[in-house]
Formats: sequence, C-alpha cells, structure tokens
Amino acid sequence: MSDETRWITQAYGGYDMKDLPNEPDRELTSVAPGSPCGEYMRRFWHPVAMSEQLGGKPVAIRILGEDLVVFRDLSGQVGLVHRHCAHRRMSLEYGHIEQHGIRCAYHGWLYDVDGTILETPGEPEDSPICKKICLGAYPVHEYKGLVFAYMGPPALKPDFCHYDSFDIPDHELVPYSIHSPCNWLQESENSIDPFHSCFLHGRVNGPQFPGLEHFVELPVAEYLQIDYGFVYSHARRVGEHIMVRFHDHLTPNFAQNGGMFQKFSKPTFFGRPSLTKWVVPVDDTNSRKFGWRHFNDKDEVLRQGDKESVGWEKVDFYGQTAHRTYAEMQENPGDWEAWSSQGPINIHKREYLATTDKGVSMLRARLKKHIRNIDKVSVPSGTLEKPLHTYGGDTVLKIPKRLNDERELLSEIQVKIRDVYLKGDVYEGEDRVDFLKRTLAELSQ
Amino acid sequence: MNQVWHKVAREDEIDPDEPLRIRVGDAQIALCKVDGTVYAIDNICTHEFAELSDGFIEGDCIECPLHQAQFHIPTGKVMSAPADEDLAVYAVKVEDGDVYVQLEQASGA
Repeated sequence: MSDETRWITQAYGGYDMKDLPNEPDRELTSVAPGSPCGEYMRRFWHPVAMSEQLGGKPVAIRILGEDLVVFRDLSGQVGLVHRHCAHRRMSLEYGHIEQHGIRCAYHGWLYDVDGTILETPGEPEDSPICKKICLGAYPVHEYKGLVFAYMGPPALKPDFCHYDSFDIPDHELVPYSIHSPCNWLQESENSIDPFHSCFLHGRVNGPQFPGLEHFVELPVAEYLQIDYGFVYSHARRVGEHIMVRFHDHLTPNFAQNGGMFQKFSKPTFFGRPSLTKWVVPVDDTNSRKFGWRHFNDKDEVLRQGDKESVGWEKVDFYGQTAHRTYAEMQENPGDWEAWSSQGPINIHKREYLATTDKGVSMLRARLKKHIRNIDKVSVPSGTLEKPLHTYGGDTVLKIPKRLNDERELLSEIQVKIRDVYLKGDVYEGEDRVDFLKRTLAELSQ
Repeated sequence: MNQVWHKVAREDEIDPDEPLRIRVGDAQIALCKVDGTVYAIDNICTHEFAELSDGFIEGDCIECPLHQAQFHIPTGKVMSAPADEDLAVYAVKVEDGDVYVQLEQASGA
C-alpha cells in the first residue's frame, strides 16, 4: 500500500507539510503541444479571440501554450499563425497587415492566412522557398463576435458545432473574455459544482446574484453522463415551488448554466441559459474564458443586466474578474478569487474531496478516460439546420411538500424533468420547445 | 443462510470501462466486467462516502474518484491508501445473458 502522506491529520500539525505531495496532475492540466491534455484539447474547436480585437494591428496571443498572432487582413480574412516568422523568427506582432495576409517587418516575407508564403521579396524571382515551407497556421471560424480555432491534426478537423443555444429566439448573444492567472481545469470545475453557489454566492457573505437568493439552500443534485459530457441539475424548494437549474458541462471545457437577473416566483418551463462559455487554456498557469452573455428582456425582469459591462475583461455579474480592489475581494470574494487562489495549478493530491465534490470528481475521471483513449474521443456535432441539443436553463414547478422525504422528492422531480428533456430530443426547433413546455406544464400542480 | 439470487441487469449492458450502478433494496452495488467476467462489488468506498461507479477501472482494479483508493475487483481487497478496509463483494452468476447477484455477502471485511 502506498505510504504517501497527503493530508495533515493532527492538530498543530502544520510542520508535516514538508511530506505532502507537491506535483500537480500533469495528465489533466498540461496543455503544451504533445502533452496528454494538450493533445486531447486540440481535437476540439475553441474560441481564441474576440472579433473586436482585430483592428489595424496584429494581436499577440498565447493559446494552449503556443505563441501566436491573430489578425484580419484587408480583404476581411482572419488569420491565426505562429508568432515567429518562418524565416528568421522575428515576431509577427510587428508585422504589416496587407490585402492578403501579413508581412514580416524584418525581410518582408508575406504570408497568407493559411500560412503559405506569398512573397519572399529579398530572394531571386525563381526562388523555390515559398513552395518548400509554410508558416504554422490554424483554421479559424468567426461567429457572433468570437473567433474560434482548431489547433489539432488537420486530417481530424471536425466541422464547427452549432449548439441550439446559439440561436434562441429573443436572445442577444454579447461576447466577452476574461483572464484568470491559473490552470484551465480549476476554473472549469467551478461550473460543475452546484454546491459552492450555496456558500460563495449565498451564505458566507450574502447573496451575490439578484434573483438567485434561494441559492442559500443546499440543493439536491443529479448528474447524468451523456455522449459529450454531462447534463446535471440541482433542485431546491422555495415555498410552493421546486426550482431546478440545469447545466450543460461538455468535455473538455464547455459549460452553460441557467437564467440571470430573473424572478423564479412562478412556474417556468424549459428556461434557457444566460451564459454559454468555454475556459480556454493560455498555458499551464493561465486561462482565458470566452463566451456569450445571453441578453433577453422577456425573462431578465429584474433589469440588472448591463450590455455595456460585457466585453473584453468585463461581464455584468459579480466576482468574475481581477478588476476589484483587494479589500473588495476580501469583503466579498467571488468565483474569480475561488479558482485563482487555489494556486497557479491546483494540486489535487492535497485536496480532500467530499460529498459536495461529486461533479468535480466525475469530471476528472471522465477527462482522464478521454485523455487515455484519445482515438475514441467523439467531438460534438451540430449544424444550423440541426443544431446540437443542450439543456442548460431553469424549470420551476409548483409541487406540494412531501414532509417525510422532501430531499427524495427533490431528487425525483429533477430526474422526471430531465426525462422529459431527453424525450424532447426527437423533435427539433419550435416543435421541441412546444413539446417540452407542454409536457413540463403537466408536472406542475 | 438465505441465498437469494436477484436478477439485476443484462450482461451486454455492462461495458468493460464503465461500472454499472445498481440497487437491490438498501444495497448499492457496482457491476464491473474484467476480462469478460462480471463481478459485483459494494459501490460505496470503505474510506469516505463516494460511489465507486463514478471512478476508474484500470486492469482488475477500481479507483475511487474522491481520494483514489484502489480495490481489487474480483476479491474486494483494498490495494491502496487512504482506504484500509476491504470492500464487500457479492456472488454473481450469468444465465442466458442475465446477470444475477446473490445478496448474502460472498466475502468481505
């Protein structure tokens, strides 16, 4: 049996720290080219920039441990290329954007957005160089203000996946992006842990999110493994109603939650998300969230959302960025403090997981399975006509109390709702929404 | 001893990589397939409350998702810290593709 000491087990036992493990789990956290998690991540499309970043100058970015440059050429094409020129490796962040591609400032080599060399002006006319080598480049897809990229093996490039949440009627998707000084996994895990909301966003310093004051109740949660990740839910009673919030958590790093700035005082059937987001690794100790805030006046009745506060390094709900004072962070810490202060890379062996961490432990086990069987990984697919169905959002039902086993009731109700959601998968579009609303209404008293 | 066989699953429902979680009365059991043979182990780790069916099968051992305690699936023997108690296992038979579990413990701590 392993003799490894992982935890302090006696009072005033701080000194025993010298024997504790110090290495993070590299299998789950490393993102560089060729690393286990890095190779797995590269099989998927990820957002890497916001369209608003693409102006007259190239932008130096770092994604999955790679130094890159993103730009829009004068013909409108977006390019994502390795930062160092293929000739003498000057940085292309100093490059000159042209009608087609980007020109290195050092010797004028011109690269198209696919990395092929268009010109080597200092070389003889018949120079074969442009047929021999290329600059590293990645295919991109610009969509609703975000620039997505695929950085994996070219032969395995999947089609860009359309999710049903990209086109919800009455929803305006406003893009945003925020940096965190920590590994991607600890930031992403926050989204599969519904219990923290009870404390961090509720009991410890008071409710942080208008409309979600009921989060102070410890929920009953149910997790379902699906092809592409997890659908999970958490339920609480508030008076006559049971409030159930559904989340999508798709491996590796995609999450959707429920409504924001809404009032849940009456039955709601198949509400939709207020956030669609990805946690994208910058490198092993930095991550960048990219996503859309869903604005929808019909449901956000508390009128506390603010589009002007959503964008580069800002979003309109509490505690998501570095941009507060230390005093404010201590007074009322938010999500950003939670995942960032676990450390540059959280050391799992030093944690002591408990019942609140079921989602986190299931996610890690699932990620490991994929990383160790990368050839069996299936990537989500969906088109504009037939988008991938997601389930994130709120359903609120009027259900009488069951005094003897209320927690059992909370579990049963969310599983019943989930079964309806899954039954609805045989329909598409408005037919699906109608079926879900009608069938869920029958469950409400 | 009252030996009751309970029909709990179809053999082809059990994936070699995925423990199948079942309940028989109050007993929470994980069905695991190792080298084609189905075994039934208690689904709750002997260290802390965690469901082994959420964990990891590697070879003939299962790893708990919470603190990575490992157990030998065929015998329930504890293989690593932080657990120090063996896992209860249940007798299994497969007839006509149906999996039966005997609820009296076959062996255990």
